[in-house]
Amino acid sequence: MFSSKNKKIAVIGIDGADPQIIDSLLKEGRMPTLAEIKDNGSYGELETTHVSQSPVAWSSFQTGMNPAKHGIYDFIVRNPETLALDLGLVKEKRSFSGKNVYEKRIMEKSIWHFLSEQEIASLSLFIPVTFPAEPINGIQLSGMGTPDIKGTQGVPTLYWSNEIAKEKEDCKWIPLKNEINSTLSGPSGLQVPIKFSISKKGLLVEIGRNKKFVKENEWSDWFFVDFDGIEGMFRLKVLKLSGNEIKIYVSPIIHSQRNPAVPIAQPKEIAKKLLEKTGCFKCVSFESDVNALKEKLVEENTWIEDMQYTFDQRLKATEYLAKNTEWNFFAADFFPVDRVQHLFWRYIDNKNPLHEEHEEYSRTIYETYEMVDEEINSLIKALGKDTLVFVISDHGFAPYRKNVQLNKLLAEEGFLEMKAGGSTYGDIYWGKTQAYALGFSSIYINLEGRERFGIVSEKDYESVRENIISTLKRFSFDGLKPFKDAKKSEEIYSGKLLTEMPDIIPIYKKGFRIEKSNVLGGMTDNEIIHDNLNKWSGDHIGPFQLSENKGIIFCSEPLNLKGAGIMDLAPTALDFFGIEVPQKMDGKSLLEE
Amino acid sequence: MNHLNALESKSIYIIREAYEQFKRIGMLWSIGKDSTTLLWLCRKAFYGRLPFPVIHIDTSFKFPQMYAFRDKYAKEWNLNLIIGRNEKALKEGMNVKKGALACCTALKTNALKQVIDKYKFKALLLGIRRDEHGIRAKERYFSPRDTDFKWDYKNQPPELWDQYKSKAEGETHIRVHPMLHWTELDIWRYIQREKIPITEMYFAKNGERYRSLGCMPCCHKVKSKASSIDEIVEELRTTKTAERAGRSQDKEQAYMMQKLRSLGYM
Repeated sequence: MFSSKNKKIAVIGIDGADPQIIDSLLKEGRMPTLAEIKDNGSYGELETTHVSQSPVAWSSFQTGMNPAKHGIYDFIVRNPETLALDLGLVKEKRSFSGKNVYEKRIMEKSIWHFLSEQEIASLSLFIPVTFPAEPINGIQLSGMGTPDIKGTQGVPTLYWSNEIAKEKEDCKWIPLKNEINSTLSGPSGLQVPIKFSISKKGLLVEIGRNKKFVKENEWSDWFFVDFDGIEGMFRLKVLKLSGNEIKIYVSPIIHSQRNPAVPIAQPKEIAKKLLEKTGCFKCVSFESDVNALKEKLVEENTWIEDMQYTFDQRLKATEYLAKNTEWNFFAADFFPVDRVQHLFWRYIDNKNPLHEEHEEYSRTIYETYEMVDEEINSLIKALGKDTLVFVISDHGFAPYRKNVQLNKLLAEEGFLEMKAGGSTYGDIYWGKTQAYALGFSSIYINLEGRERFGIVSEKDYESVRENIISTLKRFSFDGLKPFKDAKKSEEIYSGKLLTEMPDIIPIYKKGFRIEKSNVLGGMTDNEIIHDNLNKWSGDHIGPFQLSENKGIIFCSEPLNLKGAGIMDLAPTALDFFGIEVPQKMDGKSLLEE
Repeated sequence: MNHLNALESKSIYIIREAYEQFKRIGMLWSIGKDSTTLLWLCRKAFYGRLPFPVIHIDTSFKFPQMYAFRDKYAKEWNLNLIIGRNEKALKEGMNVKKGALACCTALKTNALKQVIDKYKFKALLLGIRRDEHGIRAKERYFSPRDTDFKWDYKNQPPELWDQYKSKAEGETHIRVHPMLHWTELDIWRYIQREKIPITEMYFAKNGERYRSLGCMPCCHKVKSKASSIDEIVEELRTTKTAERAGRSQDKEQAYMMQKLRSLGYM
């Protein structure tokens, strides 16, 4: 047992790595690091959670349990008593005297808690649903779910002299002058003055006494800014600086790594130490700013620069910790493949309504896989040659061509009613609504006694549910049938939180996804099914049949990986250290036999 | 003492105490039924002559009927009316298309901050009620103790809504909610009894009425046949729908929506 503490096991996550793409790149010899692991060890597909959203899958990774035990089942959730919506990643208690307080939503112990109890040290880096970071034996840097300084998942600002900026969200209009006084927006509406001056040396940016010159087409270094005791940090890129146009991209203002007001790292001092040693690791949910490209605040090239920079920074921090701290269990999730596939899928999917062939961007997805492969090679060296290494992904990827307005469908089929002229969640006429869709894969029955204005009696619950399921299955629009199936929660989950789960989980065919207003419980004037005209053109949160959306798993040792699932990694790590796997875990050790 | 008298007398007590404590005090008037009732209570508290200004935060997107109502009664009641507008943001084109949260923050929160800075208010009277918002009322709660009517603010840090508690203690202002203990039905019964003038937008026309008022782009009518105060009182006794259901969002919801939308998936 004691000797086992000198052993090392590592799980490297390539978020969103798709088995089909990996297979073809392996065949073409474009992922030599993974090919070598495969040749000396083993490779297979990895079953993921039925709802293949990253937070759900990574929560099952951490706990070895299914969602009805750990409680993370959709990106967006509601409180049935108040009908208030919230993020499914983390609970926020908003304090109006300044500091927000965050609590975990995950209801079970994670692998590093079990290991801490045995005095085995862990490195948990950028794993989704680990915010707020917790004190463990080892080090934790929080991943997806980490808020920026405003409490959002990462919202940028474009300072722009074009009149369009007056109408556009996340834009601040600035006059075409040599000296421009504007403001940075922080939490609770706080504003801090920022001054831009145009000079021969480029753009002079001033925040208080802090001054930096930035040239056109260049990125600034990090700025620190104080919002009444809460420190944030951001960088900017000068996109245009000519006589007739000024355009400045300001990144989301993230919590300062020097002095974070919320727990982005445990122990807290490690955040500052890493800032000194390796720089900023971008402690925010969307580390590379997907919203900026999706909302067309920046072009592809700028986004790619930011993505590569961020990946590089995270690798530096990771390798530093791998080499310079004591650990036995290592887990890190790397984002680039997932984010690039979301935003560049239209370049490789000729059925996407925004498809275009592009000399450079049609290659971006594959080149990102290659880049990650190359970096994994150097990371594995940093982990040490005796480490048992797994490389996994939490789900595969699929095209996102058509939007489905699930709430509008429910309304047209008579299950939901909006108040006159209304179209948002707040406009639902509860007195006449039997069911509503919310989040990416959830339908809730407006059940009496559970929902605030519930009208469906316990007696009618089953028949309403059956009725909706059969409606979805037979639904077609313009010859398109978006649903493959619809399941009841108890058919796919088991555990004590089952009663909190959605009543129905719709299963989409590939190419279809719920439309974004419907995700927030509303609907739009568009048709029930219509083209997705957003750059966000690849997705994975269908959910699809389990067999269609698997991730991948590589292991440096030859193991039987047939039927391996994401819930198996935590039991595997326990088994590796000779710790008995708790009965409660749904996964099984991959080291058996 | 009957129920409405008890509510009234407690509110008037709080209003007078707040004025005694702070002197530099103002009252926020949104032209809606709650703050108009609060205005009525304030006038009663000081026998028709308000010793402090009334502040209207004007986003420029209110309904024309609201502006007309404001101007009529500001004159009739001889109010010292301060109109707070964030002119800079309006000039730069701020509107709800830029995002509900950005819009509310600029045109409400920051407009109010400008007023507070300019007039150096130490306290503000607001007409919010505990029953108005399932989740929010509990959080934003600053009132005297129920038992002996003594102020508790020295022991209990004031919870300021969208205002940030600034580091220098002297710079904060206190929010006072004299009507926290009223319900929506209490308000209407009191309006009925006192014959308080109220904008006609609350009364049903063609089967619809406004139940809660805000800015034009963010307000919807609800289905209703109640075309008089008596009918509204009757409707409220039987309804199950939330009062603010016709409001697309308030700042709190707007914040939540922005937070949810910031998921790249949206």
